[in-house]
Amino acid sequence: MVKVKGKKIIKIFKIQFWVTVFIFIAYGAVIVIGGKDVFLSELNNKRSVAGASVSALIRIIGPPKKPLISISTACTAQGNSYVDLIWGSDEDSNEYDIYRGGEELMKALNKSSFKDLNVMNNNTYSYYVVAKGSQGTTISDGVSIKTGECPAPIIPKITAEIISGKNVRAENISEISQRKPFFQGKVNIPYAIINLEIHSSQIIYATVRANINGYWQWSSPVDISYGLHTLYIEAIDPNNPNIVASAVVLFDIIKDEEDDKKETEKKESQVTKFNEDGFSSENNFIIDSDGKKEKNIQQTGDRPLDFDISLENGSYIRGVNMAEEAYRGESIKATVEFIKMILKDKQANVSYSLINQDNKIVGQYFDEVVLSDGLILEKIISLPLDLELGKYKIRVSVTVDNTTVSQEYYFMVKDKPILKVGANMYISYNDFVSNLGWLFIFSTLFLFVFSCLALWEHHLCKQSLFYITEKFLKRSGFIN
Amino acid sequence: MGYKKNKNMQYLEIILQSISIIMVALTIVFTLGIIWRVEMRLDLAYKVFFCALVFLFLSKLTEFFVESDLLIMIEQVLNILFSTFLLLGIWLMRDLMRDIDGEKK
Repeated sequence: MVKVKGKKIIKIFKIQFWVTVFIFIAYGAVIVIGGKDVFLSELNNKRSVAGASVSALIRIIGPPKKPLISISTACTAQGNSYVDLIWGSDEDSNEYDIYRGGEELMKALNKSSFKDLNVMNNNTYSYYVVAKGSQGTTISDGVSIKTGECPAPIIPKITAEIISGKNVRAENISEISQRKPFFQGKVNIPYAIINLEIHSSQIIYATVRANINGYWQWSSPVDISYGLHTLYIEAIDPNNPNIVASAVVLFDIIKDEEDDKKETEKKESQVTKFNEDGFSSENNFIIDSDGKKEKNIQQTGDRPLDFDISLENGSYIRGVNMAEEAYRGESIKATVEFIKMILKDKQANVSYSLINQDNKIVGQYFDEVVLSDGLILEKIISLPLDLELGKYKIRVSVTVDNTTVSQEYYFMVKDKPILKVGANMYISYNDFVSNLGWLFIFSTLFLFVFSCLALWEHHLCKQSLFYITEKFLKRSGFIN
Repeated sequence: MGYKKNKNMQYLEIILQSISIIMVALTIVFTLGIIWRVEMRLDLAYKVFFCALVFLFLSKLTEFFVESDLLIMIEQVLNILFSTFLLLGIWLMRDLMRDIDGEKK
């Protein structure tokens, strides 16, 4: 039976084969006679006919459908509640009236959503919607919601607490002798972007980031001249650029205490008195009801140039996040892309500093470049094998004439992983060596267990009467 | 930063990875048991299966190493060897069955 069935199937296949060959020959003839264009237009026709569809739609206009309202509540950035109403749109409805508490709230609305901003926290509101069309009106079911307690917006504040190891003193200028002063402070915005400016004989622009606790630190990349200087600090919320805090710090870099005492006394009489916080009374931040910022303090000025830094690790390890990690013993590539350039065709000194978490420079590179539009700089920075593990930053400073602009990029230095357990646990060479004992025990146990299993299996084989062959299988009926 | 799996998922993945490699090791042991019990062409076919399983085991071991270009290449080569030997073993068994049921006569 199988053989007869097979013959019929083969016959069908043969017929199909020759039909297919004939079709191909026919198309070949079309190309030869009519040319390629005829063939292509023929194919296009077939495709458009295959995809075309004709339909006729008749719709009877009826009364509006009952709106099904979806209601929710949330808080604005200013700490006020609002209620969101959404309902499905309907072709039979031309406009909608919204009622709250039985009274009109909005009339002749031509969209199917509404945001009620005129609500108070911790109150219950009930709504219904009337859909109006050419064939009548339909009223939705009533819905109600209770607004929540919206937290008051955080008023941003930034402070500078310490300058070069000295506390910022209220009602006085901070006197320091370090020509590269080191500033530390706090801001109540996690990961805030901190823009710093020093205006003096040398103008310095810098950008740093606060950490999750709002702690920020910055040290001047270049020596600052002796005398009185002003540091302008601006903190921007990375999630909402409208939230800004500013502060001003005056500091005096002195050569020697005795020589400069008289000069300092002179300067103090000329300086604005400070408030209790130790800052000029001018420091202020305001966010108005529309979320716009207003400042009545001198803003940080426009920089003559600005750039972005990106880091690239030398090794590629699939599945490991490379953006903020680097491995000691290897190198990283810092790419500096200039996004703003007013000082073109000028010679600039570029410095790349590798700074550890104690703010010590562990490596430094220098370059001289000529600034031009679209300039991109790349620098390979090697991380020695004996570099301590931890958090580091690359500070790139570009100095042109008497202006310095610097930016920092943070990353972690780790040991390069060599083993991967599961999908996300990585073991470095050092970890491997320190746990070698456990690994040896585990591997030995594994080998021992499976060796025992193999020996047991061999022992069972020795008890067999004969070897199995294919002839035996056939004789015993295992194979038909 | 990328998708971070929680601890439970990580432990589950480690357990599944370990179970997989243990099962392949057990399969190797039992295949040895079959090889010791058979002869002639059955023996040859199961020896080829044994080679395939060894390459599969080595391929699973490479999963414990951090992926690099070289390691990915090695893993692919081991996978190809496993597939080749598995195919060869199945071919030998098929050939044997065809011989026994009289197809080739």
